[in-house]
Amino acid sequence: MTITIKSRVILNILWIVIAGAFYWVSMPYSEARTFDPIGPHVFPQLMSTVIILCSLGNLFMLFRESGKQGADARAGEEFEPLNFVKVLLVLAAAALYIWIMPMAGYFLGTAFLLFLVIQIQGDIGIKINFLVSCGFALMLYLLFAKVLHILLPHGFLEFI
Amino acid sequence: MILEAELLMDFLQNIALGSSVVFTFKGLASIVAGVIAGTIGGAIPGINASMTMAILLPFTWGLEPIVAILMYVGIYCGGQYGGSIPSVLIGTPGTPSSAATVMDGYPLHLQGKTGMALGMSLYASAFGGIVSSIALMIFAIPLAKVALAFGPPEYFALSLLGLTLVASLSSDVFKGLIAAALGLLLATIGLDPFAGIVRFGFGTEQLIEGFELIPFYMGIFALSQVLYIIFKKIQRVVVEYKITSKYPSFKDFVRCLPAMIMGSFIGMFVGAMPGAGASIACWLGYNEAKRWSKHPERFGKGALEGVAAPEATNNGVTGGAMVPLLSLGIPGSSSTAIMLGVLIIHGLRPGPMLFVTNPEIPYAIFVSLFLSNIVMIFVALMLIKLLIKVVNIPESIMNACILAIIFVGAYSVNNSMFDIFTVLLFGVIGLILKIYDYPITATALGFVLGYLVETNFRRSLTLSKGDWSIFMTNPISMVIITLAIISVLYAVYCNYFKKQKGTADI
Repeated sequence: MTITIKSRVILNILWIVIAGAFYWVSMPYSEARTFDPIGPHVFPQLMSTVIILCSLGNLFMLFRESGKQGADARAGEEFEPLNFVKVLLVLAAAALYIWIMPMAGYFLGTAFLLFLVIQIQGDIGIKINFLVSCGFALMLYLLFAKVLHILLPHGFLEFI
Repeated sequence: MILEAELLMDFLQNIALGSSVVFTFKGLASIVAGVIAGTIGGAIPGINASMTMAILLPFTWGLEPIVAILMYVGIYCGGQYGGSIPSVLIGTPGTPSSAATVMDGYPLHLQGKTGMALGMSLYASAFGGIVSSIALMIFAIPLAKVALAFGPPEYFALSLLGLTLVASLSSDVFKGLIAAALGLLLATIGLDPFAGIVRFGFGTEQLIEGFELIPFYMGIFALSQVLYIIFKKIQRVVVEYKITSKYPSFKDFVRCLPAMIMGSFIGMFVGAMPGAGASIACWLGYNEAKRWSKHPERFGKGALEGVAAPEATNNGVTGGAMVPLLSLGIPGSSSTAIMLGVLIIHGLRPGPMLFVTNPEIPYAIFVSLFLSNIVMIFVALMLIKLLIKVVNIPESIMNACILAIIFVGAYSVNNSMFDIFTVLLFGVIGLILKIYDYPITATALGFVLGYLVETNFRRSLTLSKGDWSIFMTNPISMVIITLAIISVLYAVYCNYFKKQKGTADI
């Protein structure tokens, strides 16, 4: 997997789309202007304009670079595709954590997250993974709930 | 003469006030805890001082403001030094600011002089930090007094200069400006400070106040870095080390003194420039020490000065970076941006008014920066074996544990799952920025300064009744804005036209 000029072009187009969306959404805010001579819409629009102009500048430089290099333009920094998959899996595990933590409770949810994330990365045996996940989740629970007195969700372990 | 004596008395009284806050059990404990946490964080490759600060943010929630900031000063100092440990032992810098230490630190380790390298990096770090703490006292106070006269146009111009410098000093000025503008744009989400409407809230109750600072920092600095470590598969070599070689003697220390003094001053001045940072400073310090050395041919092969100079430089940055933070309220690096966040969370805004309303805080910071560097010597000497054990923890376990701490820390802010979602969102944004080489410091600075920039911008235009020329008719803001424009134009010239000319010459 490579970070190619094509992916950089896509990113810059994405910046333009996002900035454009902010610009468009902020247009009605001009009606809320009070005593200040510029309204709440001007600053977001200014920043959106900066992003759009700089992205266009980047696109211009990228097209110039790809035109000069030709075949070399397709070459970019190499990354392991497996690592990219691991990152996606970790993000999926994190999203799952956000969903199950209120239901399962902090301890179970966090132990599950730790187990999944260590397993995704590999290199550690299941037994050690299980011990580390449960131990560290318990340690964090004790630190935050008992020492710092932060209220953490119990889930179905309300009796704790 | 009488005025000078009065100023000196005033200064000494305030130092005594600051010391009375620092030299308490809580104050000293927080400094020691901060130095330990920072040194451990810095010693683990892939984790740096700003990431350590971001991870520990929720722990400061229940602390008094001054105790929290003292801890963070300790983390900052410890983090800058901690990176030198893997630089020496495994030839991989623990933090970008310790990259130059590898050049001579690792060869010294291979020659069996590990104690000399580790010892000199410790002494030089402490030296650089102490010199910069004295410089901080010398420069911050008069600058804060000058800044008391600043109005909205000047503050807007200064914030703009800070952001444009960070953008200009990045690898690509367009990317830097996009990153900075993105941070400023994200800061507009939430309640408008003048009109009272909610901008970009889309009916979401949680976005009325905008994104919370702690989850933002944890996402953009900590989670993005963990994901980046997994993405790049940053491997850590297992270190087997027994302390058998001797530490540097007093004679070695004196021999390296010129390199340390030069490094400290370079660090101070580079640290005061927003965006420059210790990662650039350490190379400047190394190159200058080599240039002025009597034996430059020894550099790169195990010269002790080659360890002393960059280490003094990177800790010299700490005091320099705090000058604009304390006197102007404008952070110059990601670490000081997080310190700004800590102060804001506790209801304080750094800047010249802090010297008037809460003088014990800036003066306590001066004293604690000095003390942290002394504490660092004892902590490092006692904990070197523990630090090596921490460096050897498998990265998959380390990454997972940091992830768990990040999520529970974010949750603890408001007991809300939305904050964990915020961490995830900014973690992904930060990862994309890192992969494509955008400076995340610019985004973080833009976010944290967004409120200051926009309110001063709108206040200035309110004062001038909508006349935009106020920024150029006001002499101070005119000079500062001109500098900001020049920095951007020069960066564009260096990035694009100079490069093109260089290619043509080949």
